[in-house]
Amino acid sequence: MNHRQKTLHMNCENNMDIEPIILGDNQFFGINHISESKGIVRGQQFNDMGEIKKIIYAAVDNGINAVSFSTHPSIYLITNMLKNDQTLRNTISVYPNIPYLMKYVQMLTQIGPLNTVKQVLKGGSIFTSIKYSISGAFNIATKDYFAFLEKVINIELMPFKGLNVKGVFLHNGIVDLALGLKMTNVLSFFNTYIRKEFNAIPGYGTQNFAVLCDALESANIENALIMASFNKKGFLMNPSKDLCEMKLKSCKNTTVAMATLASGNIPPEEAYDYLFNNTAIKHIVVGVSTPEHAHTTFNIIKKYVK
Amino acid sequence: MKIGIIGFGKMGMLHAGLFNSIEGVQLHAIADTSNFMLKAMKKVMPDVQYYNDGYELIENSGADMVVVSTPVVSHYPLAMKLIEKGINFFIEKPLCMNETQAVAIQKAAIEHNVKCYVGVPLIMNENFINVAEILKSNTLGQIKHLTASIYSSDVLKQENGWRFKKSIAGGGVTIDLAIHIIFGLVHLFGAPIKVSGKVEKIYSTEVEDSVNAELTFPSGFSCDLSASWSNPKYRKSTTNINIIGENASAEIANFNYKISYKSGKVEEYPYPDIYQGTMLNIAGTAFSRQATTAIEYFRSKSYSIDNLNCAVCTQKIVSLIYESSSKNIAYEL
Repeated sequence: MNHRQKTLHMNCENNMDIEPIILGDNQFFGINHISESKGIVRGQQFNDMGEIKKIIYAAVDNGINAVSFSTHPSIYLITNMLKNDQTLRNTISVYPNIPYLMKYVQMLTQIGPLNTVKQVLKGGSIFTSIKYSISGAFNIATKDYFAFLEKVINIELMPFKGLNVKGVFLHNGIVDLALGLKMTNVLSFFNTYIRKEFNAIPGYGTQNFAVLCDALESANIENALIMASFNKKGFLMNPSKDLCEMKLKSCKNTTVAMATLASGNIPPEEAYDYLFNNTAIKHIVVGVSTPEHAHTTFNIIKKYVK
Repeated sequence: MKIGIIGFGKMGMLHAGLFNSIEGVQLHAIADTSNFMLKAMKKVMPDVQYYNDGYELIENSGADMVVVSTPVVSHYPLAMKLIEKGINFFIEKPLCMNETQAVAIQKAAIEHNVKCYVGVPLIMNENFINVAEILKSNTLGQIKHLTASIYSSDVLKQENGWRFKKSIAGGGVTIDLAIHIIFGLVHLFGAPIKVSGKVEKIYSTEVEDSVNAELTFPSGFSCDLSASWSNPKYRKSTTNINIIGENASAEIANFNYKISYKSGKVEEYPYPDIYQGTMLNIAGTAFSRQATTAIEYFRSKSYSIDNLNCAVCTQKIVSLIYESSSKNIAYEL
C-alpha cells in the first residue's frame, strides 16, 4: 500500500472520545428496513445533494458533529460535497461503515469470486466514481486473504481522504458472518489494521451484540466501537433483549446504539428514556429526514444524553 | 455433528455460518470449484478440510451432514450420491431441476432412510409463522380466495451467470423466486388440484423473467400468483400474500402482517412488534430458524417427510406452470 492511499486526515488519537450522537445515513440512500416504499420515497428526496447538505447542516446547527456513512456507490458525491464545504469539512467527524456489502454480494453472484476480486482491484463497473489500479495487488490477493482485505479497506476508505475519520466500522454482514464461522482472526486483523494504518478507532456493526461481546473478549479486543441495535422493543436484538442488556453492563468496548426507534415503532421520548435511563448506552446513531425532524429529534435526545 | 458445505458462494457461506454457530455443530469441510475461494478460506479457517469437488467431500470428508448450495443442475446427482452414502443433507431450494428428479430423490431418500431438508426461509419468517397459527385457529373462516406476489428488480437487463441458463438453473423467476411463495402456499394449504400459468421473457434470452399462475386448491378457492424479478419498482425482493376468508383477510407483507375483519376492525402487526431474536442473525431470523429446525430434525430419531413432500409438490407445480405456459392448457394434479 502506498502512503498516499492510507493517509486520511485524522484528529483522533485512538481514544474513545466519540460524540454521543452520530447522524446516520440510511435515509440518504433510501434504506428503510420495514417499508420498501417509504425508503424509495426518501431516497428520491435525497437524489439532490443539496437536500443531504441541508440535513447535515441541520445536524450541525443542533450540535451534532458526527456522521456515519456506508460506502454506497454514490458516496463520492457526498464526501466531495463535504470536502468542498469548509465549515462541514472542519466540523464533521466521519464514521465510515465498510464495505457496502450489497455491491460485493451482487458481483459475487453475477461474476464469481475470482472475477469479483479482479474487478475490485482494478476498479470496475460499479466503482466508476474513481479510477484506480493497484499494481500487483491481484497476485497478493490470491495468495494472502488478509492482504486482500487490506486492499479492500484501502479502496473503501478512499472517498474519505481529507475528512476527519474518527472511527471505521466493519459492516455487520461481514462481522456476523465472521461470528458464525468463528473467524475471530478477521476481527483481530481489522482492529489492528484500522488503529495502525489509519489511526482511527475500529468499530464492528452487528445484529448479534451478545455473541460479538464474547468474541471480542476472547480476542482481547478492547476500546473498540460496537454498533448494534438497542431499543425498548428488543427489535433486532439477538439472541434476546435481556441477554444484550446483560452483556452491555460488562462490555469493554463502546456501544453505539442503532435502530433505537425500532423503525419508527417507539415514540422518541419513550425510546430515549429506555436507552439513557435504563441501560448503559451513552452513544447512538440516528437518522433524520428533514431539518425540522433533525431539530425535534436531536433536542429530545439531548434531554436524555448524560 | 460435523458438517460439510458443497458450494461456498453467497448462500453456502451463510449456511456455513449459521450451522456452525449451533451448539454441537462444527464446520468440518468445504467444497467449491473456485480455488481462489478455497485458498482464501484456508488462510482464515485452517482447521477445515477443503475440496474442489463435492463428490470428494461426500466420499472422503467424514461429514455427518452436508449442505448442498450449488447451481441447481448439480442438486440431483449430489442428492442421489448423498442418499447412496447414507448422509443426511440440507439442500437449497429448488430441490432439483424438475418433477421427475424430485420424485426420484423422494423415493430414494425414503428407501434409504436418509433425511433431506429443503431450505425455503419464507415459512420461517415471524409473520408467516403467526399467520399459519391464525389459519389453524380458523379466525379467517372458510378461505375464499388468495392473491400472492413476489417482485424484485434483480434483472433489469440481459444478465450472464448460471441463473439465466435454463440447462443449469432449470428455469427463471418461477423456479428461483416464485418457488418461495409456491412452497409457502403448499405448506399452508396442501397440494393444489389444478395449475395453470403463463411465463414471459423480458430481458433474459433462455429463462422467463415473469410468471402469472393460478393454483386451485381442493376446497375450491384459487390463488392468483404473480412474480417478476424485472420490476424496477422493487429494489429488494418484496413478498405479498393476501388470504381472503369469509370472516376476515390476512395480509403477509414482507416482515409485517395485518388482519382485516368484516366489521372494519384492522389489526396490524409491524415487524418490531413480532420480532423474535435468534441465536445468530446473519441475513434475517428466518435463515437462522431454518438452520436450527433442520439440525433438530437431523438430530431427532423420527423420520418426517413433511418438508420433502412439500418440496416435491412445489417442484411439480413449477414443472406444470412451465408445461401449462408452453401448451396453453391447465393441468390437474
